Amino acid sequence: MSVEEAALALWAKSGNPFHPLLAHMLDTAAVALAVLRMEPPRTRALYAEDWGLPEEGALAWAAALVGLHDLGKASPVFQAGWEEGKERVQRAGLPFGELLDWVAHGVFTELFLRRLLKEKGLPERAANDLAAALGAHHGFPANAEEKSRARRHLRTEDPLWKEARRWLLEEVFRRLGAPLPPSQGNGEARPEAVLRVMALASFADWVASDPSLFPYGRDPRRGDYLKEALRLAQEALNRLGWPAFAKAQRREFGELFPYIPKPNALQESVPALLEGACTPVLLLVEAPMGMGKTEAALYAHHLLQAGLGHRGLYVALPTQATANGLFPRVRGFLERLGEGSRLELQLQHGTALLNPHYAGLLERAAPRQVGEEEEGGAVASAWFSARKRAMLAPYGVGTLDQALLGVLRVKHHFVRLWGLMNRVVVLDEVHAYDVYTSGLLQALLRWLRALGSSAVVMTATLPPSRRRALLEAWAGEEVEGQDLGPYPRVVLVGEGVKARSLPPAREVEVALEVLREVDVEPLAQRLKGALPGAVGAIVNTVDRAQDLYRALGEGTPLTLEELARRLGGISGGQAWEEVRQALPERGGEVVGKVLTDGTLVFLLHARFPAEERALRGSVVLALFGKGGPRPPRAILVATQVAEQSLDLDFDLLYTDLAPIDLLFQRSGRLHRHERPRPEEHARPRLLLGVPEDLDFGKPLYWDKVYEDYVLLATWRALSGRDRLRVPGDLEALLEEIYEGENPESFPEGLRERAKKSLKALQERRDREANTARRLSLSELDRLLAYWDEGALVAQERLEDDEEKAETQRLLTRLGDPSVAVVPLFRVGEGLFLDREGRRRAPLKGEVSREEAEALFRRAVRLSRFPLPQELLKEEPPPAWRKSGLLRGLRPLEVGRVFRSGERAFQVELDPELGVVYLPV
Amino acid sequence: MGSLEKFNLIDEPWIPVLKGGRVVEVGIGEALLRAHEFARIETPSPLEEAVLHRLLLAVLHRALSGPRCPEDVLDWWRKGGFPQDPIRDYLNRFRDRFFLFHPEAPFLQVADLPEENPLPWSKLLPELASGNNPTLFDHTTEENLPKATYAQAARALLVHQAFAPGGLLRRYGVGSAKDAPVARPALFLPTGQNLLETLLLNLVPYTPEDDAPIWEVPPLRLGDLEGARTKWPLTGRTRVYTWPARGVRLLDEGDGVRFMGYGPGVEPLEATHRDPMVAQRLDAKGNLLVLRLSEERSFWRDFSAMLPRQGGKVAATLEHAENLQGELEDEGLEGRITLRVLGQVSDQAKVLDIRREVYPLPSGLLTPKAEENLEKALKMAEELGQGLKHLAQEVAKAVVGERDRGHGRSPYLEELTKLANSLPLERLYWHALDGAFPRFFARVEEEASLDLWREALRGAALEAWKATRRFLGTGARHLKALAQGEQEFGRLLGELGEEVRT
Repeated sequence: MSVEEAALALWAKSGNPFHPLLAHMLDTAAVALAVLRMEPPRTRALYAEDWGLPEEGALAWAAALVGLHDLGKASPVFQAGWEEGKERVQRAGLPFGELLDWVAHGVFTELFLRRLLKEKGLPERAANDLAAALGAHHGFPANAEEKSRARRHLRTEDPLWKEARRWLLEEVFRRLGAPLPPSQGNGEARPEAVLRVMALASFADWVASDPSLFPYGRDPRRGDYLKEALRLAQEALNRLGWPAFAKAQRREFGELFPYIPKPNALQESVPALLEGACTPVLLLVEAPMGMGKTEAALYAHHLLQAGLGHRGLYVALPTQATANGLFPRVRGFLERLGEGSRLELQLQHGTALLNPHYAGLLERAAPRQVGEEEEGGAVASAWFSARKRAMLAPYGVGTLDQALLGVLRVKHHFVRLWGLMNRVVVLDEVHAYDVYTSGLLQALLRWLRALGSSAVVMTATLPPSRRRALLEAWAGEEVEGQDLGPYPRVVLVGEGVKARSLPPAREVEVALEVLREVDVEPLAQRLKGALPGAVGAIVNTVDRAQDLYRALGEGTPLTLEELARRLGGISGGQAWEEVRQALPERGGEVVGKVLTDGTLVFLLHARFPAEERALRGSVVLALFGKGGPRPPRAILVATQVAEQSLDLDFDLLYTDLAPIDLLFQRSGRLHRHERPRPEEHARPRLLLGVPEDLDFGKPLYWDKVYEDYVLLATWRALSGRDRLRVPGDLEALLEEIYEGENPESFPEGLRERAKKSLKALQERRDREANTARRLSLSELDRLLAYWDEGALVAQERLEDDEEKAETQRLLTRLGDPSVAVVPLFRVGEGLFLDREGRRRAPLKGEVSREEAEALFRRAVRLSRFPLPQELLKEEPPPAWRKSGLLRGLRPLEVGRVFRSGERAFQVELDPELGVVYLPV
Repeated sequence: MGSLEKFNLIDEPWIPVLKGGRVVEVGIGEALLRAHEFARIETPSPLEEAVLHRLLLAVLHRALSGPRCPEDVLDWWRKGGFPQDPIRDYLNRFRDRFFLFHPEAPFLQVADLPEENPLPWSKLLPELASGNNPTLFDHTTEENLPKATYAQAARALLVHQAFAPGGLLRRYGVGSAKDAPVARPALFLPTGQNLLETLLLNLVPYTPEDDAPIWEVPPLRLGDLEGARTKWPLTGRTRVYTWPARGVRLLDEGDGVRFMGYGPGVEPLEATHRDPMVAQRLDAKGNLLVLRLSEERSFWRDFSAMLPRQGGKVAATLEHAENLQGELEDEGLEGRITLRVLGQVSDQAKVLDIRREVYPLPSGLLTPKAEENLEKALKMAEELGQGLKHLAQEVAKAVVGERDRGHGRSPYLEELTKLANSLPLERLYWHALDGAFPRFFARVEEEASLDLWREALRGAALEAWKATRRFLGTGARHLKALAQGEQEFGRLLGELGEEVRT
């Protein structure tokens, strides 16, 4: 038997007919080629630049490498896995020796390619890296232990096997007409070049492994096999809704955002700054909410895409809620941008299924199945919804976590990075991230730049050191001594640094009144005394919010129905109309209370089951926001959840002392819109609660939420002031508090405490920054490292599913773990979702999609010690383990008692207060 | 006392190496530039062995700005040496920082540490402990303190900075000091056929940014260290390899050292850092868990804690050595590797034991077959060990006689325990296995290895039992106890035999 016959006998996919190895390798290469041909020219130019080859040669070379991803299947271990196939291989002359233990074929791919690529003439470093990258196509590079096991097999293997592999490799190169790249420098391949091949191999393999797209049994000996495979690949991509890049013509701002009559200063500055950009850029937008940052970013994407040929857009937001909120706006933009063509929009985060807008898209995509052309409009095809594949879609909205997983060595992280390649990545609300997450974000920026993407970073103002860190992560060098002008501003880092200051959108001068008595009873009296009006109180902890709500007085529970009745005829505002649509189904749910004098009181915090929180959020947005019916006497008690994103407008605001940036965020909710107000509130006033003794510990526990030093420093900076310009004063205060860290400037009695707490703060910051740098791929050349801390992450082989507890903890490193629970009520023998025992909780057997969503909507995240510690030790019910949506949840019977040391508490679910912890 | 600049560690002989079967001392320069001529660093002290390697590695990483990737190491292996010029240039550049005695910057010491209240130099060595440490290994006391040669003192200094356990200090405003970087973990040092290979096997790829060894930073002064003023995050490869855990100033007596000034060093801040010689893994929150040596047991009894299948922790040096070995074998080069596990066992501030265990590193160490055999072998050994422990108690009981046990910590029970513990049964058994394990481990993949191991267990148990008989003597009660014990012992060996058949 000849080597060729032996090689052709090898199988890749078992079955009748089976699929030969060479055939699958060529199929995969064909998919890679087809994908690259549908990419914008700039993506292809990046591949060409990676290897110093002309474009066609570079594509053929990359496709050949992708094809070789399964060369490891040309091993006795793999070929013995299917008896029929094994016999055929044996008959073709390839002997099977004593079969040792099983080793994954990816490991063999690496070992084979290490040698064969070198023998072919590729320099050692490039060969080894490519080999390891292609061997990792199932998610992780092989470790030393796997490789030494694989090597043992090779020692006893008949030499014909190696001949067969060499023949396969040559055949793949020959069929594709792939050249060898010229040797560059010291024979290394750049990490981003390796990544571009590495990720494409996984992606192409997913497509080529689908037998409905690539039927088995096609004979690779046929001369036109590759041509046919290319046709199938093209067809497959069409059927899967993979869009070809269409160059967008440059459009005017007004065409894309018809609802904005005239672009504002920010929206005008962005195009001016981008004018003439011919390399990818970082655009840093520092501006307060309400300046149309989102539209500016979307327009920046359009201009960059039109100018540079970026392949798409990813908008990364801090939370799922904000991502859901932005989705319709991005969709609208894309629909206007893509008139006639099809632009896919992908909502990408763990609970995307619950977003009604997204679910609608999915429904529309589903019945048609693959193969039928859409008639335009944004269609998130189901294919892209499978988690791993999702980041590949050219247009997406999701959480930052999803993007950050690209720089942590979890499963298939490299596919995520590839998906963000040559894209415009918009990172929103960057000020909200802690030191650790900011560190990961800097690593992400480094990769984005290396991968030829542009980034738009949007933030409220940042302390100078954090701004510098972001700019330098992009620039790769020091960005020192730049006078960027005052806030708000836009900074562009491309070839050089350009900056523009903007006139503030709206400046409010707020009278500041300090309350040194922070107990909830007097505070409640004070708030009630400020009525009539729409009064807000933002406090630092959930317990305190619940206490304050109670202290406002006994009232009658207010159902949604009752609320609608009271506000009866008043219509108006989209938010309020959406709330009213929920009436038939949820009219009976409690959303607040009514005091005897008719005052409406609402409570909003994160310890309500998701659907209750969402309903309350909508109600609050409708009543305190733009356009809706504004009750004459209303108080909202809220935690930090009211500080971000929600477009609320209070006549008067009370806030607990918090770090200065958050105080400004909160103050931004004061007299936010133009509207008539009660006389007493004609001028905006902020009440700031600061405990008399400056003790932020027990029973306030503010020091568990914020850094003691930052609270102290904020207080020191504010004391003596009686007004604040929002946002005008923020920048100077930020700098004073975060950068001018000088405990000596504190009054005598506080100096020692300031010194100590500052030291603790600095040490913690350094530690978190260091941890982020070590655990993430903060340096490009650690992509495949086996020796560093990142390799320890890889060693854990974490799923790339941010809902998994382990992955989540790696992403956040939150000191206090939390657990998402579904509160259940015991009625008789059974556990129910409701107190009355009408909806039984499915715990056993199969859980339908509807049931799963119903459970998920009841979830609430709890962190009180030792609740997560105990509950995470318990397995979820069997039925939940099978569901991606439910796997991370734990049932929690209402009334259950938890103990920590001497103390014990009982978990209750109160319809008005949410989850409460009652001492027992 | 003292002179200005003296005893430069780059040139003066102080690193003991084996050359042509003889131990000679060389300086850092020679050790690196002629590494291929030396079989290995040869010292009776496992801790010295570890720190001397760590020092040489630190110089290499900095001088070579790498290796950036494993292929760099392979290149040097194939060429049979390190690039010489960068090493020479680097050592020249920092020559001034390598004097053991120096008015401004004595190596790894603090120049202005006062001479008052000096400590004997032997305090530097855990195995030459004095003061309130148990004198485990040596009976050197302060009265008859021998003078250390400069070479000895230099080695002791390195050992101390790496291994000093935390504890009371009460000097210069610091009440208690923290552990030195590797005071607790087990260190994994794969070794090759000569010093060059050994260094290459441990030269794990390295990024020179964000790191500096002690000689690249300004010399520390007492003022920096008083009141634990200086804290560094415990991270950066060469920073950790050359960590100034304590303030030390060796006092020159012209021809040696007897005393030193002593004080606090740089306090380590917890940090995410992978020390290549330490076996670590990441826990769910992203914190690193470290493999330590344990007091009661030799390292091999915990060997399975390194195995990936059991969520084990692996040292980067081991992974690196395995990768190199594989690559070299692919090229037909032989890379015969031994694994040395070094470190100390300590209980808080007390050093209880110093360890060096040497294992041949069969290629494919961690194959499932090997793992399975290893697990079986360890289980057998532990079970028989448990049996012997029980047997010792039974024998003790028979000797002392049945009595009312009383409650709690009765004198009777204490007597029983004391007698049982004094019997050499368990101790000798494990001791014999310490010697037998490497032989088994060299063949761990082979089917026959388990039979070999069973023989070793049987032999070890028999020897231990014989010694126990001799120990107990021939009193009537003792003979009776032994006769009863004999039966039990036979049963234990029988169980071992049964396993042979299954």
